[in-house]
Amino acid sequence: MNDQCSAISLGNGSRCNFTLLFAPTAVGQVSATLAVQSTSGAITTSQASGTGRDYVQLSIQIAGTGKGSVSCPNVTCQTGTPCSVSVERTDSTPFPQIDLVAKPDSSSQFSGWSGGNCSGTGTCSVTMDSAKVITANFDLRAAQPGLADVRAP
Amino acid sequence: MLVAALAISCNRHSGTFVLLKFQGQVAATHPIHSIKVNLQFSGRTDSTTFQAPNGGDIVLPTDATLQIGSGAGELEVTADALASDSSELATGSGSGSVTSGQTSTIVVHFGGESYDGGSDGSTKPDAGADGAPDFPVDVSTDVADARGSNLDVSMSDSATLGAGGAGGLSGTGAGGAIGSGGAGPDARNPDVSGGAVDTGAGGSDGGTAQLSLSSTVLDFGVVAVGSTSIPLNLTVTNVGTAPSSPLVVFVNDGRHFSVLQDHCSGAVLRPGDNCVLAFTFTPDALGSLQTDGSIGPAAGTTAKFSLKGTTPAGNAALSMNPTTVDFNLIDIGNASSMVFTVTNNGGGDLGTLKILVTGPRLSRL
Repeated sequence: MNDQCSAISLGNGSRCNFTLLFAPTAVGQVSATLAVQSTSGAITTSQASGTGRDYVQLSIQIAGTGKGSVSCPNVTCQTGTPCSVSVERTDSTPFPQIDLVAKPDSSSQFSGWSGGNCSGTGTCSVTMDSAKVITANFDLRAAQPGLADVRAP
Repeated sequence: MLVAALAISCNRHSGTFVLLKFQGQVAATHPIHSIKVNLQFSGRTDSTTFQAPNGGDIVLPTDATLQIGSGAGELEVTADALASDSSELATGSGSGSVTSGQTSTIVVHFGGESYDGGSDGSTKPDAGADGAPDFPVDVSTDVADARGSNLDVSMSDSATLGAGGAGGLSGTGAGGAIGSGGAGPDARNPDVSGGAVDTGAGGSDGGTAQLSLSSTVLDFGVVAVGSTSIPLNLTVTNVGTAPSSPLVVFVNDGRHFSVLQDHCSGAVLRPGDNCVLAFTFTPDALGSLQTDGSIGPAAGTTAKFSLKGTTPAGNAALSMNPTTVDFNLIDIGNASSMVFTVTNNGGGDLGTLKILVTGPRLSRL
């Protein structure tokens, strides 16, 4: 903070400058009251605010014998394609949450999530408190007998 | 008939005038309610008491103009600053030569802060071992018109101590008090008008003088401590039917409100005539100030007005720009800066400054 004001006596009509630096070290909005006070008791205040921002990676992997896709806002990951999402974080209370939806193709079935505290076969909600790796597992469906295969005894 | 001559000529220099400048401080806790002035001139003695309009307090420094008739000689002045209960707060004295047609200035310095109580328990200033007064009295002769003064009272050239209202200066009686004054001729000398304050009120046509002011309140607005405002004019018009008496201009707080130009004091306004006063405001501390003033007399009354002004009060003495700032989104690892400007808007000596940053998560700022 470049400061030409502290510890000086400011005469009538005189001015001084100081520089306030905002260098965020964490995600989120901060605000502060800036006060310049004289020993005589005069005081003037200003309000300062700013928001720290970063980006974390959400990597989505598709595994298993089957095929399918995983979609999340603005991106859809397909089987066989490396996929990652850069998630902007401007707030930590809470951190942003990303919902992932798995969709198997016709020959496959979704067998569940792994990683990122996700499990089961429903929607995976990932809290981006850090970089995450989420895996969607797809398996091939077992062959089902068709009507043409049904023969009369 | 000196005063009548004044009324006709409006010439202040036709008499002998004294500008008394009361200065110094009175350390007593009681404010000055009045200043009693005792005069010795050409073998005569007289006295008068100055009071603020509306019974307010007198703030030093302040001035008073005396007309002591005509002639030249040594004028000795002693002044007592009195509290509202007439107890004496401080004493000053001075003397000097006065000359007809000129205005002599005598500075009377009250120095209540120097009271030591003395071995006799007196509250009067200690004369010191050498017998010399503790409070210096400066005497100078100023040929300039004294119409810049705050207080004005006239004393007829034949006045002696007498009953109030009869003639000349007569203490707190009607004869010499500010804003009033004796109207009739001195009983012992019918050729000399007393008081010189209501001469015009009873004009030959039987009419009365009536003063009208262009404004009853002059507001100087916000003025920085130590600075002087632009002048504000006050026009005084005689809307009556007879000439006024020689006008007396009074401003209670002569310390902060000054008469920059005075074309009224001592002037006699004929019906329809006007004169102009110009005032300035010079605050020496933060806050709002207001004082009363008066112009008169006319028909035994005074026209009253108020002067007021203020300083950039309290916190307004300092300002900071911008008053709000949003750095918006800054990536962690990067930084953004903003220059703030702090201004002393006329708060005077504010002492030294320090910068404080308070608030949640302030470490990030």
